[in-house]
Amino acid sequence: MTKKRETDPELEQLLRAYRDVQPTSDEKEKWRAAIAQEVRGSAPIVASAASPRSNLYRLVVRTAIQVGVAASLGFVIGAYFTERRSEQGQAMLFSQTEPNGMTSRPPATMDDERETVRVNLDGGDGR
Amino acid sequence: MRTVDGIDWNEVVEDLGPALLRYFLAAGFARASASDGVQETLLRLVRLAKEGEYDPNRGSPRMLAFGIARLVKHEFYRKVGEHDLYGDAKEFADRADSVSAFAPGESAASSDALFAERQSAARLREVIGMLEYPVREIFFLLIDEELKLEEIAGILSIPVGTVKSHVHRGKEKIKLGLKEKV
Repeated sequence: MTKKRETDPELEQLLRAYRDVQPTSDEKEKWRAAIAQEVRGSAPIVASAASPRSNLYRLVVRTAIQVGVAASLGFVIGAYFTERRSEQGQAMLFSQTEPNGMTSRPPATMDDERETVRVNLDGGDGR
Repeated sequence: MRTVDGIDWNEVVEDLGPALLRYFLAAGFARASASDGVQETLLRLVRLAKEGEYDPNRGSPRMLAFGIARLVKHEFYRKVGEHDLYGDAKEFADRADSVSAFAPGESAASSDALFAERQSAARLREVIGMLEYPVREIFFLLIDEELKLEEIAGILSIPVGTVKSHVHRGKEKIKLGLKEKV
């Protein structure tokens, strides 16, 4: 048993009104039973007196929410990087800058090559 | 009752139960909720002991118990809202008058003296409820005669000197508050 603290008569007088409160024997018995059950292994938790079934529902809902959030986040991040890669690809194709500061012509495509050949066959200078 | 690490839980119930009950009642809990608060605090103490984290040499069991009780109280406040307990002075006074200090089945008007004493307890609860943090919390803890000022400082993580000055100023405010009530 610990010692009582140094007394301040005025303070003790003020708080005296609280001190006559005592637990009933029923309350003590209830606390003892709960402790005995906890010591044995499991005990009811007063603060969250939820049934095992509602705990299971809560777990399922919580897991579903977490999976949903993770999937949405994955989708958004995936879409962002796909878009970014596509933009980078286009930039590489169309925005190559020459040393003189001019933007270069896009590389010739197969259609351009065919057109050039056709022009040559038609008369060399296209006339 | 079986013991965990040699702790006699019957003794813990006898020693800490009444003090914790007064603490929860002072904090504005209704009698049944206060009793549940004590039970929850004691159960968490047992769990700490089972996990090997309850070391009487590291601090007094009393200090640890009140630290847990504060946590349980805050969890309750979060659930119901502290404002609901202290926000409306009249409502708090009514609640204090009608419930807390009396055991179920007790008659408040069994004698005039007893009735007057309980009325003053209700007024005191109301006045302490109006104090600001941490003064209010210090007075809740002071209700337990065996909790030292050093332990109260430890529970609230503030210097002992601060506790002393809060006690001094709090006393004056309580006296003033009680005078106004009368």
